[in-house]
Amino acid sequence: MAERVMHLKPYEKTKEAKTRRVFTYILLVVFSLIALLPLYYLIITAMKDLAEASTQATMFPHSFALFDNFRFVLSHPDYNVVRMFLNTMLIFVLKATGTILTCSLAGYGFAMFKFPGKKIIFFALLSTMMIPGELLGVPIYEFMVNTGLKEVAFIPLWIASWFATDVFVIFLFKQFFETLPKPLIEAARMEGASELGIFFRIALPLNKPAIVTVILLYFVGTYNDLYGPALYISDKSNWVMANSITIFENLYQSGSSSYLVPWNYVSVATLIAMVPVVLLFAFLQKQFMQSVAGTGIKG
Amino acid sequence: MNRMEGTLKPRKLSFRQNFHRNYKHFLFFGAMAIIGFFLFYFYPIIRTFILSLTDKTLYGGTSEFVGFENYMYALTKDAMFAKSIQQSLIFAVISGVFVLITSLVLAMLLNSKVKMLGTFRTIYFLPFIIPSFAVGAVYKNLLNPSTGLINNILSVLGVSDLPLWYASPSSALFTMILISSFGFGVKMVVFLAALQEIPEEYYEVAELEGASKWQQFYKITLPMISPIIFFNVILITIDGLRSFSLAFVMGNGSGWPSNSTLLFPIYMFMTAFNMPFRLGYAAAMAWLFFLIILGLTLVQFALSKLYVKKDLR
Repeated sequence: MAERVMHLKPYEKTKEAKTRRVFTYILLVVFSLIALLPLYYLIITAMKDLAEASTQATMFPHSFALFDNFRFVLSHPDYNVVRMFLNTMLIFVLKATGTILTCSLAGYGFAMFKFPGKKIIFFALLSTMMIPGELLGVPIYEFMVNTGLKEVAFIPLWIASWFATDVFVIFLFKQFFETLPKPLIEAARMEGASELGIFFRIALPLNKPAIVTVILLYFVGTYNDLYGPALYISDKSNWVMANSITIFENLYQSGSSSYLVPWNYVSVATLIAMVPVVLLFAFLQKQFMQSVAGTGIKG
Repeated sequence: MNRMEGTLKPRKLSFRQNFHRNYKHFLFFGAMAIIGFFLFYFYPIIRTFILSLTDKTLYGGTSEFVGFENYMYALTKDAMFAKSIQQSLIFAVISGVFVLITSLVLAMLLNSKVKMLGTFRTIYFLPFIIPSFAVGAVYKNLLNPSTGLINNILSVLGVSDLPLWYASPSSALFTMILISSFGFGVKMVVFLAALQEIPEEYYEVAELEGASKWQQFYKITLPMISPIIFFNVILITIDGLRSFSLAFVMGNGSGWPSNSTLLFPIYMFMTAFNMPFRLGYAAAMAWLFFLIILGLTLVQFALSKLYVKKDLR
């Protein structure tokens, strides 16, 4: 084997490796274009005027009506975007707070204490991940309608979060808590700190990446959820961000299945709806990538 | 979970001692999770089963026990049920394969020491950041048969028979599969992390031994990441079977055009939560759906024995 090693150049520099690198970059760029195309088309459609946007597919806009489009969208009587955003945020904050609090407590319980039967309880909880929401939704809907809570303060959309029902998040916190240095916890116990005190003063603050991940996943999740709002929201004043786009999609709908869609207004509404998510990602991207990667490996 | 957990020395404790040291605390910390399990999983499952044996509607006063009639009706008479399950399966399998391959290929590209890794990673993550209800709107615009960009490009290229995409019953499901194939963001990051865990020396040794890149992929990369592939396959399948938002947007909430985008969650939604709110029948369908998911998951676990290599690290 030795003589073969002698003949071999460092593989980075061989001609074959070079062509492979070029090929890699070409693929990377092609995929980037595919990923960027919708965004590009979204932006230029937002610039077009109504006539062009709804009848022509131009790669570069002939008309420029960006500001008029914004004015039209923002002045539409149903488009109460601040209200819709605040509604979404209210649901998000209630959901995320409940989940972070109760799931981190449960995750800590699983990570820190040892007793017979723990694995069985944990697998019982994990197996609920396989249960589709479709199987659970009907009785909960029935309950909410019968008790009259269906449209009170968005209760059906966030109440379950306060009962640690997101097993993935419990799992995430458990994995993180297991990496905490044990001597730190022992030392705190020696000094007479209560278990709850240790949890809130030491364990939880050390788990920022997990908390950031939950915040991001729940933000996107709440934002993207169509099922919940379609089920539990009917009043216009309770509309959430997901409703902000359908207003314009259905602007000229008149019963028949073929109708004119004012894509310029839809695009403007879409861009506005994207702003908060993009900002949040820009700020939290690094922690998120690390911690998604972390759970993936351990899963 | 192969680490020693907890604060105990591996010394045997009596139940009483253990209760005071550990159990008590666990019950305290896990209380909400245990209550939640019974309120939001255990009770609904039992209640759904009871409902599935009746003909209850939400606002109808009476409900009668009908045995397994709902199940029989769904399995033998309801063509919409069969169609929605079939389309959900097609959707989940094909888009799942697409997502799996693209996310793995992209992760491998990003893992090959490229410059501007962060930029590319962010770009590939974009489809995940755009809200899913907006994704539907954007692609409806792009793929609009008469005014969309894609058909415009195709007609410039000389295609005379332009596809109708989401507007035609014969291509709407395929269009939806195509769109959902871009949802590779999270899976790509998970794969990338797995690839970065593979020790560099393995490839260096293989290189010295004269193994081709393809052999390296087949003999090192694939076996090393096979547990993660399994993890992603399970997640992707369940996600695909349960996908609702995209189909809801593309099909205007009702499987338009002519039920071609009717996935099971949409049909179930229409049955249970639109007039006349047939809770009993919807509950029976939900149980059948659950059994299908369960069956598929078990099959995947069985198949995973063939390709998942454990203890390589």
